[in-house]
Amino acid sequence: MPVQSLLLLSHALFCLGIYGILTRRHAIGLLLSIELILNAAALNFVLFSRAFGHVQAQAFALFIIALAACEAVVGLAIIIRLSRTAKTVFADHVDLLKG
Amino acid sequence: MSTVLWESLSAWWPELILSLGALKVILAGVWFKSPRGALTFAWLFVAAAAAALWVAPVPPSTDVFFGLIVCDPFSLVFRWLALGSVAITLLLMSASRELPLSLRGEGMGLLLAIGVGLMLMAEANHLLMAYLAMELVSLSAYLLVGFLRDARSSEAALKYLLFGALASGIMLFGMSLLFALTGQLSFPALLEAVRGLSGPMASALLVAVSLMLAGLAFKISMVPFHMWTPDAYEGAPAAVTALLSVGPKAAGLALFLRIMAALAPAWPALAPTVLGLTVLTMTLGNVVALVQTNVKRLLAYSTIGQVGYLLIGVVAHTALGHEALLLYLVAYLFMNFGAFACVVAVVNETGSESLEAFRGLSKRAPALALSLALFLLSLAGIPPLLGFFGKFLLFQSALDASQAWLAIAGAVNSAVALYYYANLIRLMYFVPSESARPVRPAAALHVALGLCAAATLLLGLFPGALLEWLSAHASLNLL
Repeated sequence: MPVQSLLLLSHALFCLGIYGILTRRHAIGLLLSIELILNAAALNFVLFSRAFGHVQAQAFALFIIALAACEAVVGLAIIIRLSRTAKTVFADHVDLLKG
Repeated sequence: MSTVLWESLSAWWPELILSLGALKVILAGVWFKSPRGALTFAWLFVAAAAAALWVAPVPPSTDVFFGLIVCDPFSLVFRWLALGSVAITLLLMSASRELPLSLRGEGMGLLLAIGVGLMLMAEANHLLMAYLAMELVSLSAYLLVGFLRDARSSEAALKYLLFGALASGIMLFGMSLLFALTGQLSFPALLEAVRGLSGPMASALLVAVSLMLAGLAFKISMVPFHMWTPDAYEGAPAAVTALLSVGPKAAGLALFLRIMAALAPAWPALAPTVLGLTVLTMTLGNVVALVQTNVKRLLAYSTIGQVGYLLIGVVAHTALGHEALLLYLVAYLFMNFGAFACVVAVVNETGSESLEAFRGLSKRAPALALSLALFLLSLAGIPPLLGFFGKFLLFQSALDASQAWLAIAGAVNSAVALYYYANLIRLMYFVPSESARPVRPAAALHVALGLCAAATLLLGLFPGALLEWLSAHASLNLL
């Protein structure tokens, strides 16, 4: 598999993630977009750890997967709390704090 | 293998004790409904970590755990700063009435975990460690911001989470690009590899470094990545806001310096941008603070302004600049925590966070008003308080690095900042209050206030010993 096309794939994932952040309104949709960005980075690490024969970078990718799970747990906990207290999960409906 | 691990552990007891403490305190918080047990455990572990840090030997080779972490004198200052902020936040959390009693234990456990993360951020010598440490701090902080049972707190947590996760994702992508360009992950090896890059690879390096710095800039709320700061600070419990405005800023700046040392060849191309953003950061923070009516929001913008001053030490990029940065961080720890301790006392008593709640405080609580005035004057940089010396040294380092207009921008900003700090003092002393009920801070708050006030005043009057200790620990060689 050529490095170039995989690099293109990881950049496409990153851009999709950023696009999702800018256009999504649902909090869970926003979390999913962030997961896309994390996975783009993990793909880069795996790709180049193979190219350089660098084992530590593969460990890095594993850590990214674990931390993405932690982030999802914390994120969902916060979203559940928000849906109980503010009765909404849309990011543009929460606007109590401003000034 | 085992000797490396053993040598590493002997330099690393403080972090180990604090991480065990975090787990133990969370368990105690879930097990006992009253927070007293968790509080006792938390203090035991913090005291043990402080003792371990006090006697910690300097390891024979400074990079421990196979080069993932470096325990040099520079990181020692930041480990003390992290431990200090955890200890003072513990005092504030145990005294704060807004936190639900049943959740306080878990909050303290998360607080100790943040402490470990802050220490690791200052010690990281490897991209993986830097990322893990930042995530440890961030994930615990997202939860702590949402600890109150109201819609504002949840909203603050959501905004902090979304901005924070996006920033760390972008930083991570930058790291992966950096690895793609160099094939290295540890900072000393990165420096070697980056020196060899040229032509289009050098420009690609700039993209990777900018993405990484965006994530760091979010952590230290540097413009244009500061938008989350006022919202997260306003919604969070006051004790947590206090921690967020000091701990991650100090550790983030330490990591910033380390990463810039590892990517030194890219610094000349980035310096003008960072310089411009420094001036923008302090100006925006101080100008927007002028129109705030909520005290936590006011202190959030004041934090952004203070980060601008701190960045002067980074931009100056000299030994004096680093020393000034360390001195101002110590000063900032005491004066900002002191100011927040007063906010906790007033919020406990009145339940209101608006500036109006501070009216006539000099009649209702003379000692509290006097100490708050002391902290605000120190934040504004009035001699002979500790904040003045820090600021003075920072501006001096800018002048020495022949960046006179950076010092001028700092001085003009200090004048602007004096207006909103003095306005709060005016409200306390010259505007009568509707209620005459005295404000009586809890005992833990008295300890925190006394400690911060004594440090701000005494270290300001006699800064000699502190300066000597800091200049022994500041160094330009961070790898």
